[in-house]
Amino acid sequence: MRWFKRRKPSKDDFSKGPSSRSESLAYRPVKSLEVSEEKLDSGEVVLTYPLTLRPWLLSLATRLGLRSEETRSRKLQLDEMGSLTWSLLDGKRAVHDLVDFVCRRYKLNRREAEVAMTGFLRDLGKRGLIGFRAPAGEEGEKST
Amino acid sequence: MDSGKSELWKTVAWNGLSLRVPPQWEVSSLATSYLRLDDEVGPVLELKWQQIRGLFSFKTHLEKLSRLSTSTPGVDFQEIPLPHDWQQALRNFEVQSFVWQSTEVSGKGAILYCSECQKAILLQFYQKQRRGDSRIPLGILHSFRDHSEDGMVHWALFGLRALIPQRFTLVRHRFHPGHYQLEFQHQKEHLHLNRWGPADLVLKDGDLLAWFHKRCGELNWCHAANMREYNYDGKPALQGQSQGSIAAASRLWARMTRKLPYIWVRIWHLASRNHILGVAAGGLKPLNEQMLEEVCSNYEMV
Repeated sequence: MRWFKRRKPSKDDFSKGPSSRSESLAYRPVKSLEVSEEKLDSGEVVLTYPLTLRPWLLSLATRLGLRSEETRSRKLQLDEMGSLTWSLLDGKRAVHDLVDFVCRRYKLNRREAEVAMTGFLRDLGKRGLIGFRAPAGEEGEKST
Repeated sequence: MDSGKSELWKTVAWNGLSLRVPPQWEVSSLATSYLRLDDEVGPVLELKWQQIRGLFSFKTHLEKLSRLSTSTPGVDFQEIPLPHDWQQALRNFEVQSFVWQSTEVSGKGAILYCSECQKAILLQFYQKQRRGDSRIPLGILHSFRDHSEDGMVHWALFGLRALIPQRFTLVRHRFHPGHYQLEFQHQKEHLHLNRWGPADLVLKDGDLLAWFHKRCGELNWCHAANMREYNYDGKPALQGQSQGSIAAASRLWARMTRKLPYIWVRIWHLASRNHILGVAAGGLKPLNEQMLEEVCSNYEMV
């Protein structure tokens, strides 16, 4: 027996986010202002971003004296394709524009490019490196 | 929905089934005997099939579908006589058609049974209120095939095309960005089709041979093949093979250790499509090289 009933999502919950694949692809990824980037000689990009800890973990780290500038930031080195994609994130291009670009540049099948691109953006979003802006015409900014 | 000209439609062929669909339709979900295609908005076509041993009962399967729909609130399921325009397209099958309706989406489909290959297929088209072009389902049904006539099975998906002898069955597949792999097996004979890409990224640190030595772990037993540079149809390629001993003891040892004594591998760089294609075969008995040449010549990216 469940102790608490799971709340059923109302229609309003969904009205704010994309409801179909084409709508999701119209969202525009935006870089986080807290991310600093460094370009290597190879052309690859290294991103440095702040590590977000849960409050209880943060207080524990402080008590144990583990809190320092170094432990509060992380680095992520992107490969060539990732670096190229990162350089295209200007807040104006939608996800489908990025997919089109990658399709043309690497002669990829559209579906493959879409899966690779959405997976990459999802990963960046989970780390808090990007947010998503709703397509023009829709209000508000959606972050991952 | 704009279906475009049917000449622009593309072929989707998977595990014995083949059909032509509008160019904007993409496979969104895939299993050994299951296909779902989506357009820009959502699901549009779903196919599920099964090899039948013994007698096939439409009644049982329709009852299952009906039960499934009644357990889902708001779905109304109904058997209907086969639509007149579908009759000609599905003349080679025994057919029972149905429709279902929920608040937002409706479906129209059929259970097909092919007495020639004993395959039962559940096929359904999803329709939203505003999408009702009946020519698309009809065009798809006219192109629908559930078995091959010449003993070669056609595979066409995500730009990959191949023709594989019918005796091979699909045992594993993966379509990861950068690496596609189809693994077939017939008794102790294995056949793998691979596709890596984008080639300009994959080969940026060296040539095909250097890359192969770095990545051959992915090809499992292929490291045993003695790979050499080769020119395949004007394309840079690698080819290698290993031949086991014909002694009965060696064959028994290979069987016990699950090592394949006969291995044949060919990998070529398809610069025009920016991909690397690979065919690998292994077995306990000598391999049919003519068949492998045929597989390679029909394996392409479009």
